Amino acid sequence: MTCREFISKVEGLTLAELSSADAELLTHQGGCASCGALLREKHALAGAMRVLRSSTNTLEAPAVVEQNVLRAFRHSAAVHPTATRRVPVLRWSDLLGWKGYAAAAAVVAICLGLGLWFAQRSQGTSQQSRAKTEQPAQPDVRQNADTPQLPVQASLSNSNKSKSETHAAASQHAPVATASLVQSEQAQGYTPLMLCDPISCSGDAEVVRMELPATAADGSAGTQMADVIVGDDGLVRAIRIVQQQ
Amino acid sequence: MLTEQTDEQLLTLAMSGDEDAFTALYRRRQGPIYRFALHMSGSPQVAEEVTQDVFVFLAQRGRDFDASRAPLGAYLFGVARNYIRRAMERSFSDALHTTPAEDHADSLIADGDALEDIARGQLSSAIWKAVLSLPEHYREVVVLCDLHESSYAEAAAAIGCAIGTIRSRLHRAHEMLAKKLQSSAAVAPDISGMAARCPS
Repeated sequence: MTCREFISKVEGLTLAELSSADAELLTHQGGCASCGALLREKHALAGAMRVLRSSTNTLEAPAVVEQNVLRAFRHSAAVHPTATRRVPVLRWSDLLGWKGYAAAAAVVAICLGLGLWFAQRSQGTSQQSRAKTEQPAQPDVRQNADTPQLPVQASLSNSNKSKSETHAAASQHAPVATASLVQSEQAQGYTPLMLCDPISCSGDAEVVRMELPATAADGSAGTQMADVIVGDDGLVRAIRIVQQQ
Repeated sequence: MLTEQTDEQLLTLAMSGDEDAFTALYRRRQGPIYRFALHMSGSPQVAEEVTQDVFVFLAQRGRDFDASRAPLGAYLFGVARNYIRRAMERSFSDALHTTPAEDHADSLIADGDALEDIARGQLSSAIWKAVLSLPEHYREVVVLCDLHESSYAEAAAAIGCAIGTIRSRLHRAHEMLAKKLQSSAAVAPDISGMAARCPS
């Protein structure tokens, strides 16, 4: 046994247990002066504690304390009759047990489910409302090509601005999502001029009625009216020739 | 017979209204609680007050005791510990540093040879003063383990900490006691040599 092991073992014993120390400790302290001194110190301290313990071990509380305690017991028994059932106490340790974790997991799962449900519901509602607002934005050019029914009424001013061949004849500000607009306008006779996907063509767009040289359309002289979808980046998304009556 | 019942059985009977069971439990446990409070505070007044408070608390709140957490003895020491702390905060100057030999001089000097009794009384007084001068968290482990001969596990249950904490606090407390006793002239010569330590 080394001195370190000896110290560790001595310090692991209470003073009362030192009196019954094993032979290995006694053998080591016999050969090591400092460890022997340590053990003697511990024994001396144990002896002093024993003296103090023996001098006070007969002390007790006075009889008046017992009378007061029993009076309190009778009062408590009167206040809390024997038939009173023990009220279950919810302790923090119970909450921290497996029941608490299970309850917390259930609450989190319910909250997540409700959150997803509300998100889906609000998304569906917004899609429906968007569809309702976009539906009348599609001009019915086949029925009335000259006066397209757009959400924002076109303020036609083509007579004033048609001096230039390529100037806009009418400007109709109808900000809508470009990609969805182009896709929907393909069915209305528009010819896409660029590849529009939802990412590259995101943002608003305007339908502009323009007066183009007729040669661009059929090779004849004169001008030709056309509706052009222009994105907010200035690029033309699609074009439709307006059939003049 | 009530004397053959365990503490927990007596408490169960007492909580159902059996005053004899409560009396038996009180008489069995009041001595250790009183001495624990006395050793911790050095004041008989505080010890009486704490003993009364502990058992009044038990009479009123004994239904909350959970035997699966700790034995009733450790539970009572824990309750007493809290009341001692409150009492000593309330009357710190009165409770602390009272010479125990002055309060219990008669009890410290037992019958027998007069000189031996005086020496024993001086030694008890010196060691008690040294214990009382320890910080509270060291003092309570010394009182529980050395004076009440509680095991580390019982002391840990009473104080509410780990066994390793009790062990390390007790070791530190012994070192502090050795230094205090070394400077005390009233202590036996072999105790005054307690400062020596192993080199390795």
